Amino acid sequence: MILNSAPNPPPLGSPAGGLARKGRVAVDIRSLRVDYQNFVAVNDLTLAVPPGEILGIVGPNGAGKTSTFRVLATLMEPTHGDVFFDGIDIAENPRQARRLMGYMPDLAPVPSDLKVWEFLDFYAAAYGLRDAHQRRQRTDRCLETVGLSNLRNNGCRELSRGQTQRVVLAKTLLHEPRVLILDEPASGLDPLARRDLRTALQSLAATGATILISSHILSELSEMCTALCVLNRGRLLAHGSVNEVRSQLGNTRRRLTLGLLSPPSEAADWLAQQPTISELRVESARISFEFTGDDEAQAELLEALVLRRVRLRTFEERRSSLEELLVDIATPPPLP
Amino acid sequence: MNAPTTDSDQNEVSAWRLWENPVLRRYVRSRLRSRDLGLGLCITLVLSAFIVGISYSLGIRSESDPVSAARSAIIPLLVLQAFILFVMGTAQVSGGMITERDEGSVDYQRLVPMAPLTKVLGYLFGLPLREYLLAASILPFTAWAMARGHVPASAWAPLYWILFTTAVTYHATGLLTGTVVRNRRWAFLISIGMVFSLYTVIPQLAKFGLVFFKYLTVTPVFYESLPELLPEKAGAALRIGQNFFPTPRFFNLGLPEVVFTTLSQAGLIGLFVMMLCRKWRQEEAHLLSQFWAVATFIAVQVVLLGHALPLIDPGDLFPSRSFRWFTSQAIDWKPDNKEALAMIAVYGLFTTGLACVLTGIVTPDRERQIRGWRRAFKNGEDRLPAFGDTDSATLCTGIISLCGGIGWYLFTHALLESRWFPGHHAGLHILIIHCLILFAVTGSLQALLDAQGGRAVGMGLLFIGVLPLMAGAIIASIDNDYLHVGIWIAGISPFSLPASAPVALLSLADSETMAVRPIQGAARFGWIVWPLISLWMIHRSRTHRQSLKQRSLEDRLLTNLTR
Repeated sequence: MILNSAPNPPPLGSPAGGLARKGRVAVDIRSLRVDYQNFVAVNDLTLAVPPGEILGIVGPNGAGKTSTFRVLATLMEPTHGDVFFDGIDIAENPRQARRLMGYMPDLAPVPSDLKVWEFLDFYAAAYGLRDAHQRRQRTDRCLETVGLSNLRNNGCRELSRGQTQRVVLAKTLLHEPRVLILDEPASGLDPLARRDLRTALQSLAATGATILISSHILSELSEMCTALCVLNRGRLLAHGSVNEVRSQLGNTRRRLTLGLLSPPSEAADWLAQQPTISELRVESARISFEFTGDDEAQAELLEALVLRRVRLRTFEERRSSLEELLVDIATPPPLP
Repeated sequence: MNAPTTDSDQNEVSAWRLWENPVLRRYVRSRLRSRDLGLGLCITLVLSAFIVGISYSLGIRSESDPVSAARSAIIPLLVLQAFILFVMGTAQVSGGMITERDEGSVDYQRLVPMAPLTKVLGYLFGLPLREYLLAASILPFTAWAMARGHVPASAWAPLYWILFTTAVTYHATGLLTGTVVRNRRWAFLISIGMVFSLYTVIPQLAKFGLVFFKYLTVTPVFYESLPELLPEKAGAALRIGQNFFPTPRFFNLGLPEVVFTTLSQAGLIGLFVMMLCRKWRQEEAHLLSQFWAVATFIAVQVVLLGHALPLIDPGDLFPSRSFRWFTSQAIDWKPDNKEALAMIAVYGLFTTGLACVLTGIVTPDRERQIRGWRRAFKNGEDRLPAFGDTDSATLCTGIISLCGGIGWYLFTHALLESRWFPGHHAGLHILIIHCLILFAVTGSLQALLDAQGGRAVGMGLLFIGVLPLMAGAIIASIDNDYLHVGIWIAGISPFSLPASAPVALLSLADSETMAVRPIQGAARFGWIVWPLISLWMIHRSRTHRQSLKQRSLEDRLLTNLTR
């Protein structure tokens, strides 16, 4: 694999990765807004993505991911705002921007009447590779990158969903783009293919390519991204490494479980009166509850329990996963 | 990863090097696969062989002349070729384009750095490749029949050329509808409907004075070549008949049919290709720019008048003339006043309809206006680019109305002051009224579309345009006593204005006839009321545009502040 020879970028959340490398900006989104008649799909989105970053854009359905990507792919003009690739205004110079960018839409289309190599050869020719030998080399290299060299002569209609995704990814890589925009690239991929995709993308990022990936499956993104950005109802809620995103989202909710030596009823009565506590459950010698507050408040709560002569035997804390966070974000608050 | 190395401008495929066109080559691969092509070829070859065999043997049996017998196979073979190219080819182009768009491939293509013209030509000639090959597979049979039937090259060469240009015209129509119409089902229906109209309905307008339209079909050249294609006796008889009906010549120029048909079709193909290129360049672009909309409108007026005017004095323009040739009254034939009025009304209706279509094309909707203002402010401009897609189409509509009014007046003038209607005069007031009618209809359409959008136009058409016509028809049909009221109500519809204008304006109308007076009353009412309404609506749309500008400016300022 030619593209896999470069070292992997630093993992998600590490100091050397993500925003820490922000100096130059490869993708610069400023105050982006996309309206459909009276519906605002993307509202005042501002993002700066440095070269070599793999930015995961997450959010529930209708968050504005696809609209943002369509604007980035120059397929749609925003209602307001500007987008720059390496300083090029994509609305003013779409042709130049398209040369820098590779776009892979959700449910990417593959013509059923072509073979895999014919599909890639067509796009290689369309991107200006006129020499047949060069085209062959380039298509073979891209097929190798996505691990599909063995399916070169297969018909596109014979491909599985995951294989189709990979063929389209190979097509997206044909003109060696500096900015990759991938809308749900891993949907339909088996774990092995996902691993290959991750490796391929990390290799590309290591060569300086900037990659934007959308997904609503956070675990999938956290495996391959150097930064995350959370959208909901068109607004940017958080942007940064996983930890930064968690704190930006104000995730102070966690489930605490206490193992007691003393009878739990007295402690339970006291805990039930605390405003920071909900969903209290009492078992024989265990109490579990949802606690909302920062680490300081949590320490104070435990201290208060000890002062009330509650004899703690064990203590367990479980924070919400990013997945649960996303569900929280997407769920509208109950009506009063 | 290095900087992109592939897509420099030097490497871009030229639109005219069709053999290098990636889209065309993609279809060479997919549509000419031996497995799929083989069956089609077999069926075509067997059918062609059957046609030649049966026609020749029956011809020999009935005519006892090998030349005539061979000729009898030509027309069925041509029909088969026309069916493959026109019907199957157009369905393939339209359906193929709809599928491409449905699957999202069009979005992909849009991102590829190829010139829009390269993409359009690739699809135009790539999608129906199999149909071209199937039609070509019949050529050996027609070649044999023509050689055996001693058909001169001067007959078959123009015919085949026009068969090809007509096929391209229809394919371009299918490609345009497949590209533009968003709904899959509608796209297919509209595509078939447009081709059907181009071939059957629109050429019928030739019978009402708009003779140019038959040049959009293969008919004039086919008709000219027909005597050489038919068995000898039938061909000779047809040639005598053709001498009675000389074909119309553009401003009496001696252009051969094949040249003029080619030019007419090339004009239409060029127009469609321009529309498609605009759509490829930017999905949200108008089909035509304001400049090209005006140019198209003027070109249509010129070709309509160019064909119609020279036919007035010989009388060949009048539909009744062709009927009378077959009767004994042909010698003392004279056109009827009502016939002339109807022809002027048809010209007016067509001109108004075309003006409305072009107005609809160049009028920007609300979203487009907002985007236009946003871009203008971003570039430090305080106004929209003049005659751009986002600019108001009021001036363009005004120019179209003026040109349409002049064209309509020239037609009316030529007809009224011809030798057939002595004593009648077409004054300049007719020109003013014609312009006023066109402006009233197109101006209000443009203003409504600009300020309120397509839905409001639909409602307006129904309640202001169609409803008076329906109500008038019902009232008029109740009793003769209500006839005046019914006609008057129907006459106030803006749709009626172009039709009622000749009756109300021209001395050809018999004012003693019962129905004429209410038509004149309603028309005069319309000439005053509709232009005023149109002006008021234009004023409203102007205010609306100003408020959009203000809102966009405020949005821009707010965005800059929050940055």
